[in-house]
Amino acid sequence: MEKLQFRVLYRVFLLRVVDLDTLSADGDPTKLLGQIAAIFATISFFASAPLILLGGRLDENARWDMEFFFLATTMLVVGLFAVLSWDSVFPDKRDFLVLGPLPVAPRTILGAKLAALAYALGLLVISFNVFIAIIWPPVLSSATGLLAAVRSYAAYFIAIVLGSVFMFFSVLMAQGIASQILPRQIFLRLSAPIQVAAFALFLGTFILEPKDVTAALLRSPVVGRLPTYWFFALAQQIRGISGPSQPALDILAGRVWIAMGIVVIGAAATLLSFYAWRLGKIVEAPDILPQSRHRTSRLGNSLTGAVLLFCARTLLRSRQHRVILSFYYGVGFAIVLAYALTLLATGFGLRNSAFSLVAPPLLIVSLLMMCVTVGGVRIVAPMPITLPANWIFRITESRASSAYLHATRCSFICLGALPAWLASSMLFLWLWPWRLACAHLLILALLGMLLVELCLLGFAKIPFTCSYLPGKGKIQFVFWACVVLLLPLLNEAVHIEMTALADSRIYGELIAILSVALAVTWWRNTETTRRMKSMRFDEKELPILVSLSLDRN
Amino acid sequence: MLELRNVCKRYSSIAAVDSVSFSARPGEVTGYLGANGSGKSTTMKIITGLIEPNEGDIFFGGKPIQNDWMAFRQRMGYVPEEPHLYTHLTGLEYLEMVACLRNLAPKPAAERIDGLLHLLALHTDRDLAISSYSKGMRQKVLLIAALMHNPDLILLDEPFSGLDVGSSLVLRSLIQELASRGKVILFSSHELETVQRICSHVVILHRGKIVADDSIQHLQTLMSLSSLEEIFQELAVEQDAGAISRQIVDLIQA
Repeated sequence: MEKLQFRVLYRVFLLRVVDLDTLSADGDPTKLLGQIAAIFATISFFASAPLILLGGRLDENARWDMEFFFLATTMLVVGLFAVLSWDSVFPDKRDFLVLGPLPVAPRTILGAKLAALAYALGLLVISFNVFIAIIWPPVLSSATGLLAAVRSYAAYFIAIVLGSVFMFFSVLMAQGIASQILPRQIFLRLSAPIQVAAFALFLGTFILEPKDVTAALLRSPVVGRLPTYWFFALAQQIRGISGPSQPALDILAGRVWIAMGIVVIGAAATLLSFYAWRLGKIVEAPDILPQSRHRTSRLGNSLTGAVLLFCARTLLRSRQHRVILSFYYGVGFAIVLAYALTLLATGFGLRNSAFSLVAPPLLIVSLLMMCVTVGGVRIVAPMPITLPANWIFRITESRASSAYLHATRCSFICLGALPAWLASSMLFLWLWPWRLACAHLLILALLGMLLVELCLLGFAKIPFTCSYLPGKGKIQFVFWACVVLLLPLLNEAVHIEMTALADSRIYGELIAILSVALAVTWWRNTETTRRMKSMRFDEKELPILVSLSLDRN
Repeated sequence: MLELRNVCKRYSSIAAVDSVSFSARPGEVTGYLGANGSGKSTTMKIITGLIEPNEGDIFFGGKPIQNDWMAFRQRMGYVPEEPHLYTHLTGLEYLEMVACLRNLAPKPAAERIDGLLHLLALHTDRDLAISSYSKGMRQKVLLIAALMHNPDLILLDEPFSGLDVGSSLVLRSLIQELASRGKVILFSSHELETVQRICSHVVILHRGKIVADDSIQHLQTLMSLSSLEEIFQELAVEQDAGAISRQIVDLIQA
């Protein structure tokens, strides 16, 4: 009986890693999981390709750098997954209301939850290491021979598995302690900032930690506090590395076991106490309630105001959307941080530094912020909130589709482009002469609106109201296209803008080109939408073969 | 007047609504009855435009609604069977959003919403998230959203669901009042006693087909039955309730 319950619950919880409410009738959640695994497998393949090209010849430093990079990236992926699955670990009110009246033991629910999370986590770790873990370990060892290769495989696997478990359990423990100490309403309210902070912490640490691993670096006290180096040291210890770096490696590796003991015991204790004492209290505690009683003023045209407020409230209050948005913002933040480090390297006195030296990274930061914020809103906008409730938009659709397009456009501008533009305005007006700053801000405004129009191509929906078909967006291709194309494109764009800022004729031409591009995309979007009978509320894949359904008669 | 002519909706080869034709006149409440799965809600959704029919035409005020959906939607109010609402919004935020979507002028809409919230005893809870509302409170939000634009056609799909006794009495009276002011009301419910009290005309649906379309009095005379419940049992209930209940008890005690 319990075995059957476990199997059923395990399957349900596994599919809940993807929120089924967001999927259209034709949607397949396993397809989405498969796509995410495919992204990581592709990274794994490309990370292994250089070794094949080099014929497996690497010096000691390069071996350490590569192993540290793989370990750090795996731990980052696991950390981000742990933050993303924040809401899946502990049962929520829905779980309690459905399972509460049924004769299901809390230990069965706990076991099924953990098994589902372990499966999803394992899928991520394996897909990221699928090529790396086969090709790299023999090369990572300085010794040769079969025994050394076997030992190297063991070292890599143990370090990866323990590192992953450490990251996941750390987040679990932090969440468990917070949920135990804080009243549920405050915990739910603080969950989002904690998640966003954890994103920034993991990505920031990944970007900032030195990746050129040397014996001297391992002796540094700051490095000794970063968990990634502990697991790296453990791998070297298992491989039996000796020499001047051995004492430092031994100290760092010793910290693995202390840290593992703390997080495993801490996570287990908080989990068990949650299931033993807090599970039944979830249903009694209300969820987050809006705090203020103030009336929101209507913004512009009533439809535009309604859609804009609906979008803003969804982004602010839906944990699912906020977490996904945080992920993309986190990636953008990491790249922005990398460029900010370049700026800091020139000294804090930016106003006194040579303009040509500080301008390119500053411009890249500004343009990148714009791309990330507009792109982030575009990525979450197709994911619906409470899909069955979209009937109200459908039965009140009493205006032309172009009016809804305008409302969506305003929402994208206000929630995506405007924050990045305002942040850039403050930065540039502080650092640059006002004429130069205004010249850049005009370009940035046009670029932001152009990006919004590009995001609206083929997007004939009201944000958050249309069903979502996993796979249709081909996110694995879009993701790679962005990673491969965005940074070189931004570098080129900055080069053009630097030239334009120095020459008023070129500046005028650049403004004209951006304005024409904006006008063309605006016209195209408006015309396409004008021809539509209504907005799209259900995402359906067009069949390759269209059935005539002759058998029905 | 709302008029349906030969409306059909098929899912694969199964007809959920099969050649349904009837009309609902202004000033009267038309009861739309049927067992679960008989096609009542599907018909309602076809009228609102949420579902597209395979065949048939719908007329409102003598004009086919398909020709001008936008104008029709402005004249229609709908309370759906399930209270699906955006639960991350507060009651007031939701209603303000609906007012904007319906293109109502801000000030009169705010006054109307405020008044309706007061009258339906929801004013003190207007700033709470809908996720914390009871079923009855959600039903009231749906009702306000359906009525705030003073529609000419009101579609009520089981509107009494979850309402307490006091609210049910108010709603019952409200439906009659709206009808007396010339609104076209199509009202679906399983509460036959309520239907008998407020409806002058009933349409009974069985397996997607209309089996009765007449006034309650005429049906009673015609079938020599004293109540709507008996008429309904005769026309739309195939099972023997007593026998089934005995079988259920036998089964769980076996």
